[in-house]
Amino acid sequence: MAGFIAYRLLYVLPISIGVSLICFALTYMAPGDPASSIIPDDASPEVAAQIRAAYGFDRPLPIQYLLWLWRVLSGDFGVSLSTGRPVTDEVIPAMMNTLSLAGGGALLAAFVGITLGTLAAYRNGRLSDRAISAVGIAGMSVPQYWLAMVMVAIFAVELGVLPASGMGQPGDDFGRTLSFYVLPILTLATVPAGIIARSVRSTVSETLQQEFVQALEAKGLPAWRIFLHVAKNAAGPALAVIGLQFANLLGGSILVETVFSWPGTGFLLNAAIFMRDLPVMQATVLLLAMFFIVANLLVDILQMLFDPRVKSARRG
Amino acid sequence: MTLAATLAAQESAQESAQESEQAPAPAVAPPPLVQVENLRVRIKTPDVDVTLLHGLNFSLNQGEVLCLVGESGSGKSITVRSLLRLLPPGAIVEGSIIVDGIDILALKPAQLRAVRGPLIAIAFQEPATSFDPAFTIGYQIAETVRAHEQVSWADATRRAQDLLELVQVPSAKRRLDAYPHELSGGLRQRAMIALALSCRPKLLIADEPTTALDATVQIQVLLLLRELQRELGMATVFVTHDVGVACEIADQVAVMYSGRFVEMGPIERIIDAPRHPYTAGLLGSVVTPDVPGARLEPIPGAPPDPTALPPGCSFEPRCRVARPACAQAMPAFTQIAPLHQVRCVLAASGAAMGDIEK
Ligand SMILES: Nc1ncnc2c1ncn2[C@@H]1O[C@H](COP(=O)(O)OP(=O)(O)OP(=O)(O)O)[C@@H](O)[C@H]1O
Ligand code: SF4
Ligand SMILES: [Mg+2]
Repeated sequence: MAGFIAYRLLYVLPISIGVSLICFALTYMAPGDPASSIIPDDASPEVAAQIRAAYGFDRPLPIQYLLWLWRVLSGDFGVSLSTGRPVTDEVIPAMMNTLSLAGGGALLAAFVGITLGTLAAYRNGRLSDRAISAVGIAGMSVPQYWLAMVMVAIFAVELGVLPASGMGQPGDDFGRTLSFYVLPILTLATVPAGIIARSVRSTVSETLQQEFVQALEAKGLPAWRIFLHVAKNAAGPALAVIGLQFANLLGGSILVETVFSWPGTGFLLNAAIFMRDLPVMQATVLLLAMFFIVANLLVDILQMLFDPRVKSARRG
Repeated sequence: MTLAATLAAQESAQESAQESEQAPAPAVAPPPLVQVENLRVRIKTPDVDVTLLHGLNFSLNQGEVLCLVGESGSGKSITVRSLLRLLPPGAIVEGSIIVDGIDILALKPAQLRAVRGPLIAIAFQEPATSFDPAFTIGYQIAETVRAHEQVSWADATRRAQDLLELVQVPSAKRRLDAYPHELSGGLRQRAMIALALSCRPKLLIADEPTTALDATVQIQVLLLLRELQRELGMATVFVTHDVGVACEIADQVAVMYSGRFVEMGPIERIIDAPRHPYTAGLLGSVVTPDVPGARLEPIPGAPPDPTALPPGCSFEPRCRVARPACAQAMPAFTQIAPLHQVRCVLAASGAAMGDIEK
């Protein structure tokens, strides 16, 4: 168990280094001199050189990378070029907003997907199974943008029961704050819910067909105990899909955040790209990537907890 | 062997308690533990409609072993699974199955669950796929105990350990925490037997429990089963396609072909004087190591498709001694000696198979 986690952590290290290299390289992939956005247009060559030296742009690249990495690891992402505030002050609140949206969306998608998928598998081939499968496919293939517009039109414009954009005011009561989450989360959760339902259905129905389920019936176990066995067996593959969907939500919320003016990382990244605000771009991409990696790691560990065979297979 | 002793002691205590309740004890022989009459199984789904068992009759006394022998697809598994009502979806079961006075086919789902385990238990052919891979062996045995008896997890786990010791799993305590894939095939099958014994069944079903094992392990598991069966006094239905295995363990043998019994009787009679050409063929295909130069002549051809059985004797297309009459009508299952029944037109002539072929 501990060995497996250590092994997976070891695996994460090179990936993280790769990600950090890419983020670092962003500075040089953008057209023009990376320092030019910092140096005032009217600065004399001496002042420009001073600024370059201050930012370390005159050092060899590997040294620049290590310096940058050291600063990042100690929590210093520099200063936003557009607002002049520390990058962390911009990115961390945005990150929290994105996480709460993606987390809420993933939870809802997982709940709906698991429930519908399991029901469908147990009703294998019957009308309710086919109805659920049809709903799942519809959910999977609905365009997010269109769904967002339709929901805004119905709930915000027509019925006026839910706010259409933003996160509300700092002083709002809990219910009102929550109401801002409803439409973005619904929009975000629909597609992954459909995908999760489909994959849970196939995983559970495959599990139900395994011989050991008959053996459990032969032992005279009550249905709920047999379900525990089925659930534990299906949990690994289902978690993998759910984790992937959650990771997708983290990065894929740009559209939804834009439509609903949600002040998250998608929103921030959009603005940063527009303003050529490199430090903010770097920090946002790096943090999103790290969350992606950590989410995958957690999924792997959870999967191992559910399926003892994974442990021996991957160690071997 | 401590558990075996305890089990036996409890069993006899239970019996004497029952006897004293029912006193005065009847003088007649007790009814058989298992009584199956005219068992018919048909699978009817939108895709298939096929009759797999065509009216089986058999009975089994306490402590006796009945072996079902036959080629693959003859319906052995369907027969034994009927006893537990563990059949594929769409199965329609007719006839009657009485086990220990209980009408199995009339049980409601909750009653059926209560019977599975304590009255009738089954050990499957493939221990690798019959254990849930995600739970430990100890858990899977203990949960079975707890499904039927009001005991704590600790007690149930202790019982699981006793059972593993009973089936001679080395370092049983450690194996409780092993996952199925961590055991060898032989140990897994022993654990499967321990699981089947966990609620002290009166009837043990073993559906080819040794087929998936290596030859040497096969013999060990078979000997263990025979020992346990005698020690615990369980009635046992043992499925095999290997007549040699049947010789080791059976009291009675029922030879199956295409969903019917074609010959049934005490093992010695079946071995010494088979009266059905199919039985003779099966015996001919056994290589007995202690008979030098024993013949190996598998029966040519394959069993018929259960959806398209020939009109007469099902074995007629492969039978070397078939007569024209054989293709006309299914021969009756005829009693040719006490306890010995045969389904063949030639059986009435009274000649043993060897004589007919000469
Ligand atoms: N669900 C099902 N639908 C239709 N036919 C089935 C079904 N299950 C089993 N059968 C058929 O029933 C017949 C008997 O099957 P059964 O499993 O009892 O054979 P068996 O004697 O146990 O053979 P084996 O030695 O291979 O285990 C076979 O011809 C099989 O094809
Ligand atoms: S009835 Fe005829 S075909 Fe069938 S086994 Fe006997 S001799 Fe052969
Ligand atoms: Mg079988």
